[in-house]
This record gives sequence, C-alpha cells and structure tokens, in this order.
Amino acid sequence: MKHHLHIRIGVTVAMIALIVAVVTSFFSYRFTHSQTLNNAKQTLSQLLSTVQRTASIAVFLDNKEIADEVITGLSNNDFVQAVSLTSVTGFKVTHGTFSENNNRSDLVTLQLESPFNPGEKIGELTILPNIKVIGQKARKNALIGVVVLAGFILLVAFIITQVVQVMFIFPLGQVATSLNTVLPGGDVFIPAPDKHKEDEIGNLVKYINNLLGMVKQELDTERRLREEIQGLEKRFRMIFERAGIGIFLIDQQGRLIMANPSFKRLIGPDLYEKIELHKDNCLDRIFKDADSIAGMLKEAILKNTSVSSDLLLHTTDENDVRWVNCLFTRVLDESGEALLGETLMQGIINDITDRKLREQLISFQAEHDPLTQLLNRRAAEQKVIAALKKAGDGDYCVALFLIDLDKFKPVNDTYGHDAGDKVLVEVARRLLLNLRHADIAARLGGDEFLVATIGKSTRAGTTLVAGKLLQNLREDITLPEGVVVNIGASIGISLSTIHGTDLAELLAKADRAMYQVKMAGRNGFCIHE
Amino acid sequence: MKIAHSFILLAVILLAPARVVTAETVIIVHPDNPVTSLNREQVVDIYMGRKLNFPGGNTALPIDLPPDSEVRSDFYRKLVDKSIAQINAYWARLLFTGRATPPRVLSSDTSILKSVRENRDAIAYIASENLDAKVKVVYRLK
Repeated sequence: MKHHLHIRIGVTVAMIALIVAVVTSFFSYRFTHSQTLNNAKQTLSQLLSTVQRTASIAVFLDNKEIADEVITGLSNNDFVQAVSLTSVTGFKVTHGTFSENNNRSDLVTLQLESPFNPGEKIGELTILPNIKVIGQKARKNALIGVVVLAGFILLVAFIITQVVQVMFIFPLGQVATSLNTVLPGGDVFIPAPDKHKEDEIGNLVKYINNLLGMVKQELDTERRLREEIQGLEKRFRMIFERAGIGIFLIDQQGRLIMANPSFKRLIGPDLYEKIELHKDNCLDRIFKDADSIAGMLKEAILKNTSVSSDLLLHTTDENDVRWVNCLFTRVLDESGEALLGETLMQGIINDITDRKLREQLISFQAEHDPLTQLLNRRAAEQKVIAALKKAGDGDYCVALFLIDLDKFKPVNDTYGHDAGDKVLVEVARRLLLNLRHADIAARLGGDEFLVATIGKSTRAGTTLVAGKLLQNLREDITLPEGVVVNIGASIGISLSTIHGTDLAELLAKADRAMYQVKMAGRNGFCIHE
Repeated sequence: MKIAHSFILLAVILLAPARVVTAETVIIVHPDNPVTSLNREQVVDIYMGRKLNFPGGNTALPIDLPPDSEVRSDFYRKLVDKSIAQINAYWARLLFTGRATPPRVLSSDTSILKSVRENRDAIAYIASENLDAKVKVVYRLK
C-alpha cells in the first residue's frame, strides 16, 4: 500500500483548509482592517458628539477653561493626534500639532452651533486622527483575526482528519484485512466492525458477504460440474485409450486428426511416425487396397451409414500378413450436421488376422489334399469347370493330364505307408516343377493325380508338357532310409479344343487314353484320339 | 364639596397656561439707561453670560426670578427654548471656570421693579401686566 488513505485525506483537507485559510485570511485581514479604521472614525465622531454641547458652550462664551477641558479630554484618546477648537470670533484653542503634510480628508470636523440659537454657526471642533496608531491597531486586530481564523480552520481540518481516521479508515482497514484472509469459495465470511453494523461500512460488508456467498455457490456448482465432466472425460478417455480396437479420426483428405494407442499398435509405431511426419492421406499408407478404401468412404458419405470391410495392412515384412476389419462412419453432431463444418470420418480397425488366417486355413484344408497339399478332387473339378467355362468363351485350351503311378503299390506294401506317403509328396513336388501358376495340380485319390494346363496349348505343346511330367516321374526317388525306388507313371491326356468342354467327358477320354498307355506297357503318355 | 374643588383645580390648570401664553414678557432697564432697545441676540448674550456689557459699553446686571417662577420658565422658553433645568445645568457647567456668573435672583416682580428703578445697570424681565412707568422696556418677548 503505497498511499495511506487517511494521510491523503489529511493532506487534502489540510491543503483545502490552507487555501481556505489563506483566502479567508486575506479577506478577513482586509475586512478587519477597514472595519477597525471605520470604527476608529466612528469612535472619533462619537467622541466629538459627546463633547459637542460643552464645546458649543466653550465657543459660545469663548471660554478657555471649558475649551481646554474639552480638548484635553479628547487628546487623551490614543486615536487623536491633535485637536483644535475654533470660534467665529477668532477664539482658538489647540492641542497637539497639525502639520502641513496632513491630508485634509483625514481631518474630522464638527460644526458647532450656538446652544441658544440653533442654526447659528459659531465655531468648529477639528480632530486630526492619529493615522499611525489607528493603522497599527487595525493591523493588529486584522492579524489576530487571521491567526484565530487560520488556527480554527487548521484545527477543524485536523479534527476532520482524525475523525475520518477513526470512523472510516480504521474500520475500512479492518474490513480490508478480513477480506484479505478470505479464500473464494471458502466458508469464511468477514465480520462487520463494531459500531458499523448499520451504516455504509456495514452495508459494504454485507454486500461483500453476499457476493462471497454467491461466488462460493457458483464455485461449488462449477466444481461439481467440473468433477462430473472430468469423470466422464476420464471414462471416455479410458474407453478411447484402453480400447482393444484402433479408433481414429480423419478428414475428407484422409489426413489423420487423432488416433488411440491401439491404432498405433495395430498399424505399427514406425508407420504411425511416418504418418505424423507427412500429414498426407494416411489411408494409402495404411491399407493395401486403396481403391476399396476410397469406395468405402464414398459410400459412407453418400448413404450416411457405416461401411465395413476386411482389409489388408501394409507391413514392413512382406510375409507378415495383417488383416483388419475396418469400419468407417461419418461424424455428425446431434442435429445431423457435419462437425465443425467439415466432413470428418471416424474409423475403427480391429485386428482379425488370426480369424482370417484360420478361415484361410480351413478353406485351404477343404480344397487340398492334406498329404501332398495339392488340390483334392472336388476343388480340382470346380477349378477345371471354371477354366473350361473360360476356355469355351475364348480361344483358350484346357489340357487334362490324368496321371496314375505305375509302381506305387509295391513301395507302399514293401516299405510301409510312411514310405508311400513320402513318395506321394515327392510326386506332387515334381508335378509342380513344370507347371505355371495358373495351372492346376490335384491328387484325385490313392496314387491317381490330375494336372490341367490352361493356355494356348497345341498338341505339340501338350506333348512337350506330358514329356516333361513323365520324365520327372521316371527319376528315382530316394527315401530317407536310403532306399531308392523308381515309380514311373501312365498319363492319359484330353484337350478341350478337341474333346469339348464337358469335364466328365474330358475325364472319361483322358482315362481311356491312360488305359491305353497301361495296356501298352505303362510308363508313357497318350492323347485321346 | 370635593367635586367643586376638583372643578376649581381643573379650571386653574386649564386657564393658567392661557394666561401665561397670552401674557407678554418684557425686558426692562433703568429709564436713564442709554440703551433704547435690544434685539433677541443681545438679550441672550447678556442673560447667558456671553456679554457682560450693554451694547453702549455700560456694565449689565441681569436679574432673574426665582427658579419656581412661571414667568422665569416662560422667559427662558421663549428666549432660548430651554427649560429651567437646562439653564441651571448650563450655569452649573460654567460655575467652576469662575469666568461667568448667573444673573442675580430676586424673589418677586415688585422687588425686581424696585431694583431696576434704583440701579442704572440693571436689566430684568417681568410680565407685561405688572409693568409700571418707572422703567424702560427695551425688548418685548413674544
């Protein structure tokens, strides 16, 4: 507190008092001075009228004794410097000196009339006032007046200051000190100073307390609301943060706005950092099938619905396959308007790799021979039918090679099923050596296999493939126990370009061709004629 | 009887001033006095002690009636418009100076007339009805 109020009030009152004192003193001095001068003149006039009758008699009789008495009496007065009594007869009595310098206007003169004949002028009584003494007296009176007045004003100012200090500043200071200790929202209220409960200070305290009460109420409400909101936020945050699924928000350009830890974990921290760094369309970086994503987003926006799909993630390691189920929803507020005036999409990704792999495994197992991993009969037939359908529409040729192992049964009987299984696995491996990706290889059952090539096959090309297949199968097969066996095969062939596109017919014709090979001593191939 | 007395008293009170007012006061001197007439100021000067002489130079001896005399009261009232008490106060004021003396007082008109007849310097006033031929009137006070 740099400026104390009571000092300021005191200084202000003192300044005003000083100014008032100076001004009033100035006027008081002038007034008292002139008043004293007037009084002096009045006193002299009164003196003159007091002695008028006697002076008249003295002049009437030209009586020196009476005249002396009058003049001496007058000259006793301090204000009188000189007196003269003059008669029209020339009789004159003087006391004191009338100097030539004296201003005539200072003279106080009384005309004397005959005591027995009113109106008859018989002389005059003249007084020269003692201007010096009168002036001194006037100044003295004026000064006393000024001192008394100034003293009174300053005393009043001092008393006002003290009264203000006691009645106003001190209780106000008490209130301020009490107020300083009050914490907003606390239960403490400030007490009104004694003797001030019913006045303005009491009112001030009352209003402050009302305000404090309101503030407390407001703060309590605020605190409760904040706690509720914090609780809610904590729960929502917990849901968001701890969710096993990845939750993220993107804008229309596919830029990531926010994401939860699961999202980061699912897509991989390295990729997440890259996304944060580039701030571009993150979807292309995350998902392998960008076209599919674009379609999903379009549909979600147009139909205003949630769109989900199973998608593959980009992974650093090509062999690491990650599947997620991704659900896109357009973010709208309660009234169905776009949030913040822009189109935002909420995405949820859920790791479904295990399920997806299990499904793939089941699907694979359903279509493949568990021993050789080649297609089983049913799957092979379906694929060949599909290929034949395609071949019928175009210029493609589907060549069916029906393969029967020549000397498998003796191996199985001699060395056991394990050895037989190993032979079958080796046969399957060798079949695949000469096939392209689109070609089909299947184990139809026992030691019977089917290969279907799809392409612009000619009889010569088909013969070439058949030769290679047979060549491979003629090679010795070394079993783990060191036993070397030779299997050999009989291959019957049918072509869709020659024998039609009916699978059963093609199979039957291939089977007949194979039978011919067996009849001809096995270990060869034959295209059905 | 009481009523009759009251009437007489009332008549005296009512009639007395009328007599004084209508009566004339005359200023008289010795027949041989050279002064033949005086004006009001000269009478005032002599009676109020301002002048001790007649205008001709002879000493003047003013004579007064007793203080309770109605004629005296009437005289001073007419001459200087002052009461007897005021005149007494005037003389009392002058007494200690030793410079002036008030007029001699004689008890009656008779003794005044006698004194004026015998003294050449005397001057006096009487009611005009008491005037006789052995004195000289120098001023009539109306």
